Amino acid sequence: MNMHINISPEFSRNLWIELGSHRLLATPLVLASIFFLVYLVTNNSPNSYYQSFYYTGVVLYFAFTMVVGTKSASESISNELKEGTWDSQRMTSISPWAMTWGKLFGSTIFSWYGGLIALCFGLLGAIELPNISSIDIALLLVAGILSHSVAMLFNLSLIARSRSIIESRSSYVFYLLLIFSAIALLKVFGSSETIIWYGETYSIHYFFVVSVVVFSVWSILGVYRLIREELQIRNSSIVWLSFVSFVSIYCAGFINIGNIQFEFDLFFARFMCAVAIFMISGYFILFFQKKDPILLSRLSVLKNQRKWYELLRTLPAWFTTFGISSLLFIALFFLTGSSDSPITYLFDNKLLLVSILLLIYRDILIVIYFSMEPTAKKVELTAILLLLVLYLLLPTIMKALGIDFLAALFFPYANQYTTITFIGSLTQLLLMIYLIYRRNMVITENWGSQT
Amino acid sequence: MIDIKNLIFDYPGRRALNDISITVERGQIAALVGPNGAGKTTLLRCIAALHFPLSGKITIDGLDVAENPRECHRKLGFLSDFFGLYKVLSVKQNLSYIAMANGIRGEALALAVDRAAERLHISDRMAEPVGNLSRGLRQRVAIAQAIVHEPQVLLLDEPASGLDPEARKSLSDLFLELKDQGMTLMVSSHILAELEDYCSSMIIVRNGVIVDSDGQNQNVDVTCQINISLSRKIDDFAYRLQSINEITVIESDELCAQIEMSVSSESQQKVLHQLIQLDVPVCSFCQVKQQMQSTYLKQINSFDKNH
Repeated sequence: MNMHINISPEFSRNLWIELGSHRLLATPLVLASIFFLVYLVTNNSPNSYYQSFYYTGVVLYFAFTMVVGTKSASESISNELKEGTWDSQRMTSISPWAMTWGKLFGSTIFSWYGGLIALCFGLLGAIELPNISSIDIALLLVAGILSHSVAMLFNLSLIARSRSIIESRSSYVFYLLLIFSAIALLKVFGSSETIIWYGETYSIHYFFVVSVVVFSVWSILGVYRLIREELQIRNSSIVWLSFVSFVSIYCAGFINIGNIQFEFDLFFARFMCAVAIFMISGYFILFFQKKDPILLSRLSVLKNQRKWYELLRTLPAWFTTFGISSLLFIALFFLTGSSDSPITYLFDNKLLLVSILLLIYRDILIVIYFSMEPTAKKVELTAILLLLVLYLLLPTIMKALGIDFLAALFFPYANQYTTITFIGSLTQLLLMIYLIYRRNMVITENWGSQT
Repeated sequence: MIDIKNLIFDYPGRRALNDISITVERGQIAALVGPNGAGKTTLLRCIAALHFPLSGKITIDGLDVAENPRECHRKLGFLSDFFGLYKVLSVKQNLSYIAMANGIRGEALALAVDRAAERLHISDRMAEPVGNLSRGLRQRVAIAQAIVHEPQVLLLDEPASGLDPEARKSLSDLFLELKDQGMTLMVSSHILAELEDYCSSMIIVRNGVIVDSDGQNQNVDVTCQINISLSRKIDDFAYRLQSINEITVIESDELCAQIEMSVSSESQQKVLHQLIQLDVPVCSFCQVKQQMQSTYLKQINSFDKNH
C-alpha cells in the first residue's frame, strides 16, 4: 500500500479494485495463449507470423482499450453514484486534478494493462514488417486516451444534468464512441492520404495524431472542470468559450477555396464557419446543460445583491456562448457588403440577418420556458418538437397551401419576404418574453404561498 | 462552530429550507429533529457543501462553505444515509482511501486508520471486505470513515437507523467520547429516543423552517428529569437538594424526589457525587426517559398554533 502513498488516492483505490492479483497474473497468461494459438494456426512463412502477430495485437489492443476501457471510463462515476460512494469522495479534500487523473487512468487501468501487453506482443511482429509506422502506434495510444476522456466527459455532463438518467444514456454514448473510434481508426490507419489545412498540405496520419492529442487535452480539461463543479468549486464559462473558439479556428482551416478571386472571400467564408460553429455550440450546450427555475432564481438573487462577479461566474455556458455568437453575428452584419467580393452579397440582406438573430433568441426562450415548469419531463424533446413544427411543419403546410408569404413568418427565406420574416420573428420573441414573464410570476407566487 | 444565516434552498417547485438561521457551539451535540421530509438531510448536505443553496451563508469555524468548500471538507466528516463504502475493498482499504484523500500520508496514515478502527471497535475486522459485514458493522465502518481524518465537525444523517440496541448504546458512548474530545456533532433523526442519551441541544425543523415558540429561532437545551429514591427517610432532604446548584427540584418528600438537570452524564455523575457528599442515602438515581419527546411535541404544538 505504501508504494501508492504519493500518488493520487483515487488512482490507488482504482488499482486496488481493478488490478487484483488474479487479473495481474491471468491477463498476460491468457494473452500469451492467444498469441501462441495465432502462431500455431498461421502459415509457416515468417512474414505471415509477423503480420498475424501485429494485427492480432492491434485488434486485442482495440478490444481492451476502446471497448473495455471506454466502457469503464463511461461508467466510472455513474457506478460511484449507484453505490452511494460519490458523496464520500466529494466530501474529501482531494484536489480536482488528483481526482481527474486518478479516475481517468485508474478506472481504465485494467484495460491499459491488457491492451499494452497485447500491443507489445503485436510489436514483436511489427519489428520485422517494413510498412509499419511508429505514428500508427502513437495514434492507437492517443486514441485510447481520447476515447476514455470523452466517455468520462459525457458521463459527468449527464450527471450534472440529472443524477437519475445517467445509466442508459451513458451506454448510448459508449456505443457511439466505439463506432466513431473504429471508423476513424480504420480510415486513417496506414493511410497515405494528405489533408489541406489553412492552405498547407499535411499527411493525414500526422494531422490526425496531432488533432487527437489536442482534443484529448481539451477533453481532459473538460473532465477536470466538471469534476471541479462536482466538488462544489464554481467554474466560469471561460474554458468552454476557449474550446468553442478553438473548434471554430480548427474547423475554419478546412475551408479552402481553390480558385480565390478575392482574398476577402476566404476570410469571409472562414468567419461564417466560426459564427456557425459558435451558434451550433450555443444550441448544443443550451440543450445539454441543466436548466431550471432555480438557476434563474440564483441569478436573480445575485443581481439583487449586486454580486456582479458571482453573477458572471454563475452565468450558464449557453448564455455566454450565445452572447459571443451575437457579437460575431453583429460583426457579420458589418462585414456583409463591405467589399466587392461576391460572396458577401449573398448575405447582404441586413434585415434578414436581424430576423435570424431574433429567431435564435426566440428558440432560447422556448427552451427556457419549458425548463421553468418545475415538474417538466423531457424538456429538450418538447422544445425540439416545437422548433420542428415552427421551422419545418408550418412553413411546409403554408407553402403547400400556396401562401408562401405566411411561411416566411416562421422561416427566414433568403431575399424573399424579409419584412414578413422580421415581423414574425419579432412577434414570436415578444410573445415568448411575455410567456416567460407570466410563468415566472406563477413560480414566485407559488414559492410565496409555500413560505 | 457552525453558523448558518438566512439559508434558503429550493428544489424545483419546492422550497426545502426557508430562511434558516442557527448556531451550533463548539463541542455540542446538536440533535436535528423533525418529521420525514422536513429538510433535515438537505440542511446537513448544505452544511457539508454537497448542496449549493439559493442564498444565505454557512460558516464552519469561520470559513464560508460556499467560498471554501474544499477547506471546509477538511474540517468536516459526514455520514450519509448511504454509507459510502466500497464493498469489494477491505475495511482497512476503505479507511486508508478516505484518510489519503484527506491528505493524511506516511506514518500518520496507519495511525489514523488504526485509531478510527479502535474507536469503532472494528480493529479485528480490518482485512475483511466490507461487503461481507453485517449492516451494523458497515455502519461502524462508515462512521470510522467519517472520523478517520479527525474532523472538527461531524455531521450524521440517521446514524442509528438499523442498529440493534447494543450497537446504539455503543454509538451514543462514542458520540459522547468524541464530544469530550472537542468535536462538534450534528445528528439528524426522526427517532427521538435514540438522541436522548447524548444530545446537548435540539434543533427542530418542520417544513423547511426552524420551529420556534416565541418568535425567534432557537435551540432548545436538552434537560432531563431524574428520579431519586432513598433507602431511608431524610427530614431535610428538600433542603439538602436546594444546596446543589446544577439542579431544579420539581417535587420532593422525605423518601424520594424528582429533579430537572442537564442530560449530560458528567453532570449526572457530579450531582450524584454531591448527594453522597451531603450524606444522602441514595439507593436509586435514574433518568426519566422521553424528555426530548415531550419538548419536541411542545415546540411543534406551539409552532402549529402560531402558523
